Amino acid sequence: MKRFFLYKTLVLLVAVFTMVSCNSDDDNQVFSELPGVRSQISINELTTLLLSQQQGYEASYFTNSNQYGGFTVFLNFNSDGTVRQTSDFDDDFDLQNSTFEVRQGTTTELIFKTRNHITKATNPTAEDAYGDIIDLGNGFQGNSNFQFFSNDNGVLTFRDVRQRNTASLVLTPTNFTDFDSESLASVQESYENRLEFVDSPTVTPFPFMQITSSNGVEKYALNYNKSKFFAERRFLEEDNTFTSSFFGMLFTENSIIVNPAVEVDGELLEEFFLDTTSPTLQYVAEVNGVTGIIGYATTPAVPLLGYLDLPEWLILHNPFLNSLADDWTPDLTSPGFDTLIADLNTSITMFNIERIDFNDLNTDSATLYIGSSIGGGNYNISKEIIDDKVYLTITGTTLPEFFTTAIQPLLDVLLDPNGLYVDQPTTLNAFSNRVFTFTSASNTTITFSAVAL
Amino acid sequence: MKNSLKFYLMLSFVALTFVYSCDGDEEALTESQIDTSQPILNSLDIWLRDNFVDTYNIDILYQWDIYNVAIGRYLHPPYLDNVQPLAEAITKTWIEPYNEVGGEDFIKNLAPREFVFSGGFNYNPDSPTITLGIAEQGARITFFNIDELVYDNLDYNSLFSVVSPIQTMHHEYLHILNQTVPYDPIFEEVNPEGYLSNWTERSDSEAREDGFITAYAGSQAGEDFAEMVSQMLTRSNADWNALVDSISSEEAKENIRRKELLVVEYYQNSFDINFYDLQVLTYDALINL
Repeated sequence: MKRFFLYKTLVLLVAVFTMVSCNSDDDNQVFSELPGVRSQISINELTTLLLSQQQGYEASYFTNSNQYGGFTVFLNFNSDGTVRQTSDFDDDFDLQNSTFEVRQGTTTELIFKTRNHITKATNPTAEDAYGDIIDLGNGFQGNSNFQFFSNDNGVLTFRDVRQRNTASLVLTPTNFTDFDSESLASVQESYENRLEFVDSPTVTPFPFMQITSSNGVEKYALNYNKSKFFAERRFLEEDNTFTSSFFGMLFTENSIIVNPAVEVDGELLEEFFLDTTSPTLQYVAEVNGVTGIIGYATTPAVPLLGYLDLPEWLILHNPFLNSLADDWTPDLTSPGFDTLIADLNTSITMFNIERIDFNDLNTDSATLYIGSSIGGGNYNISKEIIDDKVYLTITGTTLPEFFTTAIQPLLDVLLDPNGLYVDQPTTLNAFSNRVFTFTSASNTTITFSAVAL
Repeated sequence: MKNSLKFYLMLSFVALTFVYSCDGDEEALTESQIDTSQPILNSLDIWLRDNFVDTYNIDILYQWDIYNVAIGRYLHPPYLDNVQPLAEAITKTWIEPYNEVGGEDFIKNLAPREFVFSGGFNYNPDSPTITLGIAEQGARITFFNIDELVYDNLDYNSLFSVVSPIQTMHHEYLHILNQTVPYDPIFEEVNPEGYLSNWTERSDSEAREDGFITAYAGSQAGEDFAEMVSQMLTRSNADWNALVDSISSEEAKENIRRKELLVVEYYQNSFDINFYDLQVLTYDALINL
């Protein structure tokens, strides 16, 4: 009986302790404010920051640094919920007002609620400066919802809800005195700089990147996509294979910002400034003894090895093939070469040049065929490779002398006595035919492309 | 008696323990933390509130929220100026005709509660197609491409003509009607062998020769029914008859006429609506936009 009483007492004590233990002091406050208050504080904090800059912000927007470069948007936020914008995304610079909202989602979010410059990056049919659709269905892979990430001395960083690790929107106070006029002037200049990186007279066929550090000098061939503002840098390994890395480019009034930044010896090269002293177009970054250059050189930064695998038959200039589709060898034949053909056809009264082929360039004894409106014929040529350049020399022909005399300016380019740089950068649009480029070493503004059949 | 005393003592002790254990230090209620301040409304917001929210209990969501659309698609909000024209077109070609034949509260009682307006085309990944509109659980219809619309061109083959979103409206609304009253399953037996999963490989004219009014109608019976309605309600009866009569295959023509009859019966039996009266009203509204 005593034992029974003991058990009962024990059970009772356990029950009492259990119940009393529920009366815990669990009101330790991790946050000093209630959730609703904290949420509103965050919203107010970002709203206040956005409205605090009477002259707005300059935003650098990289939509997806794995595939695209960036562009600049100027944003001037107003207390009536509107935001005034212009950008250098395209040549429509007009300042426009639209609406924005700051709200609390998974974190504090800035949302551009109606269409304006920044939403050009989300347009699935967005076009580049050359009238081509950038990427049908995807546009520039932009977004209209951004998560507030940090405030670093007034520089606000946002991330994209959708591409959190590859997109960034960084807002820096403009410190303008007149937002409208100064933002317009800025975007027009940065837009022009982006176009000039492709079309400037100081552009050569040899875009490159060079890194100088304590390890010496490394040179890379640069492949810039003018629709996506995106670049591939290729390094030639000892076994004649290339290794590639990629970055997006954003043009400002006097610099290029690359994303991701190029890391060398622990230093980050992020902003390359226009070098106005260089005879060719070049942008330079210098950080703690590390120097980077992005631009154009007068000779290839890395050897062009297209000559190693030349085909048996190459068609250079063929009105019939050209008529099959516009830009069948897009961007690869320089305007200088097209002008040369056009000028020759204008100056020669007896005939027009209609076709140019190379045969057997894969051997040391090849032929150059020139077709014209009065017939065509072959030049026998020899081929030599010296210092990664191709030297072609006429060894005989059945064509009459007047014909050769008439087309001599063309022969001077096709068979440049100073050699030709030969590259094989791509294939023919949707086909597997390889496209080769030949650049005259005597005049690197003249490049002609040819298709392997 | 001793046991009884013990029991009551124990009960009192337990009760006291409960009382004290529940003696939490809860703070007194303060004012609500919910932000109930009125958002900033522009003139368009006020117009939409007066003409859609108050009148039909329908909200038009034109201000962007990525969570209103598929998050993986690259879409953008519309220009402010393009919102009201489409809203007015919807009122004239859909709300007013249905209310006239179905009763003044027809749309108020049976309608999606939200429209989402998106500015650009909605491209389907890895497909040559675009999505013109989406109906979700009878509650929401999403329109795409409203920034590119042309209102003075009734081109049935153009994605830029206002005909396109109005057809989408009728198409998606039919899905919502079907969620309330399903169509007669006999519709699915008219020409079931003709439905194709890869419907994009058949043109509209080819689909008509197979007994489907559009290529998309040939994808499945539910879409077939909705396409019949959207195509009929955006044409005059004469134009509709001319379209059907232009089909060479007699069998295809007959199948489409059978489907037309089932559509007309559906409206009459389910909603007491004379479909041809509705057709007159919707088409007149469309050509007078």
